[in-house]
Amino acid sequence: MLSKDDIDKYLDTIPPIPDTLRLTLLHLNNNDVVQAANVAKEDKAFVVYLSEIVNKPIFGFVNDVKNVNQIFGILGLGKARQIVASYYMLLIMPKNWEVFDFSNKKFQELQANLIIGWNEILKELKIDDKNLQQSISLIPASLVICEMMFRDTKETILLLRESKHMSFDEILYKMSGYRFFDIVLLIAKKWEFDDEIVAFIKDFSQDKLQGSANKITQKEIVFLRLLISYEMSKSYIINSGLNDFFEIPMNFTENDIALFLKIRNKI
Amino acid sequence: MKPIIKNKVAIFYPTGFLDGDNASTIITGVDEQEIISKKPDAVFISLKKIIFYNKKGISYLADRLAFLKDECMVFVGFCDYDIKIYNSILSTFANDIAFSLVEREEMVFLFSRSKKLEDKSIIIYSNDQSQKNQIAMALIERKLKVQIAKNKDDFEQNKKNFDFVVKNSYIGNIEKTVAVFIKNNIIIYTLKGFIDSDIFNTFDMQYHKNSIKVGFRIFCFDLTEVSSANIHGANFLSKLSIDGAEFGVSIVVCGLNSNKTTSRLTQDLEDAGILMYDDLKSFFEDEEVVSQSNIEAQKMAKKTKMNKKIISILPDVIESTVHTIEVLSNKKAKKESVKIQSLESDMKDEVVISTVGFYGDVDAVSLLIMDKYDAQDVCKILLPEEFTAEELFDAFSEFANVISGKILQKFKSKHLHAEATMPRIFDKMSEVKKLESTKHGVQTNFKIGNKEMILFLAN
Repeated sequence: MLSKDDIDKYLDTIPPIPDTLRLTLLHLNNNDVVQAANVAKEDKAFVVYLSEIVNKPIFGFVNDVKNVNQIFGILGLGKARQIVASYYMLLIMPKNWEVFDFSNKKFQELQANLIIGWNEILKELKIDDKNLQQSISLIPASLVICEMMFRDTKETILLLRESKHMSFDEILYKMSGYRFFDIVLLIAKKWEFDDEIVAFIKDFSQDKLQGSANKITQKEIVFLRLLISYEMSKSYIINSGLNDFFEIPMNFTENDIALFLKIRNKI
Repeated sequence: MKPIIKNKVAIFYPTGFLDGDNASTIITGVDEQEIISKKPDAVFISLKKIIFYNKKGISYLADRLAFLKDECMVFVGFCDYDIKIYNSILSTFANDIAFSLVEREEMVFLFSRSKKLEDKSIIIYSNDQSQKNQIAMALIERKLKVQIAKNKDDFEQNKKNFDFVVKNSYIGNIEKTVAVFIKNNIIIYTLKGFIDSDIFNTFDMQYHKNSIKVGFRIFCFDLTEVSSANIHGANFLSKLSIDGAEFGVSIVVCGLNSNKTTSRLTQDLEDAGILMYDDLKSFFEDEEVVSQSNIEAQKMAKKTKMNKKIISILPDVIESTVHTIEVLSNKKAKKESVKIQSLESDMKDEVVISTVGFYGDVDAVSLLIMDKYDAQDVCKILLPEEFTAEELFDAFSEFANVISGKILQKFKSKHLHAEATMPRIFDKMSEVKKLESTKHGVQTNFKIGNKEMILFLAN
């Protein structure tokens, strides 16, 4: 069984953001792409990661892009910020996935798909909010934490799932009292996302939207739900079992689905 | 994606967006093999969590369902949809529908035969006359009280008076299979159609034999839905009864009346020691017979000596069992002793006991005996906050299932191919001691805190 202390222990193992990344983010937040690129260049591993992720087909570059200034320039501030956050994820990620049939390569693919999909949605909804844009990194981060938490009792968890037909989210809840989105919330607080994002995550996991006291509207929640459902329907995710964490409320209108598919087709 | 199998109905629950790329991950070749080996009555795909699907995705799934229908003669289709999806699927497949459409998941059980739903009332509404009749015929055959609504107004006015409402549904033919379910520790086989020499092929004899091995004593054949039985069918039942007699097994037949077979064959069945009842209800009212299923275990005539293989698998069985118990209860289990002997224990009535049979490359019976309160601890994750004794037994059965799954994995890693029976649960030491399997085996005693726990492994 997993106590709340165990979960806190796992969360405590998440290291603070390294100085290079913190400074890069600071410059990006000040809209200074050149300074951000100069700082980023100091971390060689980050440079390799940047070039690997931006050259994935979903980013749509025809030629290989390797220069950091060029990468940040092409990406723009929003995507650059998200990729810095994604790189940080790589630092806390296990070398091998044991509970879920997943790999770091697939993880990067999921990160890239979520970043691009979320950016397109926010662009379509005409929303320019740095925090909201970055909040997408919380989903992959939480998946990593779940992988780490389940490791010690892996065999029992997999058998429980098979024989009792419990979803991973149900097992997590029975073992710890937390659901997947509680873990997302804990990480959001640890990474000091503001109250609006915290409220957004709370609303996201509710069956009925609260009409929120926060500024973020229900539309963003609906489209994030569609994006996650879409990504979680992909073969490599279904085969990994990670889709099992998401019980997405099914209250979409036909117009929402049509608009979502239109946004997808632009990517 | 693994299906959830409940009451011999297998249901897949895909989520999100369904297209040609991901459809092959919903029903994989491995899933198909599992379904073929488990022989369910029905295989359905629930569309309740599907946000969007395209023709390629749904066609792929329809194709796999058709394959399963042909391969194992099961009732297949889609369920949990709204009227738009219903119409869209009908128009997509136009004149070539090899599957059924059942509006809600719980209604699939109306058409499958594993769950007993006698006396339930159903109203049917459909614009399609032939479908309306086909649905009604299938349900009447299941002994359900069926009414067909005359028109939409009649349907809307009266639907509140019925247990189930069937509309927006389309069914193909439901093929015959042997359905199995368990009630009061009695295994009930439900047969349909003709009982003839085919029964030798369709009946799962291995399942039957292993159920005897783990302590089931009464096997009831519900023939209410059978139209007739010939001499080959009667011989099959007589043979089962005679073969089972040496293990103290009783065979019961319900619903075989003079319209379905000759009085001579009925006499032959009675001579073979088969107990005959008009229907399941009158059988379960015969408390004297039904109570035998709980108080007396089978006496296996053939006693086999402990073999080397049993000793060689013991460490795997112990490790899998103890590890699971420790993880789920958060308590340490300390091994006290290992002896080859008959089952011995001072534990009396505050116990829960599971027996599981393994067969294949390994032939063994494993018994796990735990203090009732320790059992509650290990089953905590599977139990609601407040629970009945029956729910505890169900949860303990699930728990025993988890352990046997683990043991099978260990065997597999050593290239031993084996299967396990469903666990049989007891709550009295005296009952278990009557099992022949407890007369000679390896007994490992543990302490969990100050309470005793026993793992007994025998041939």
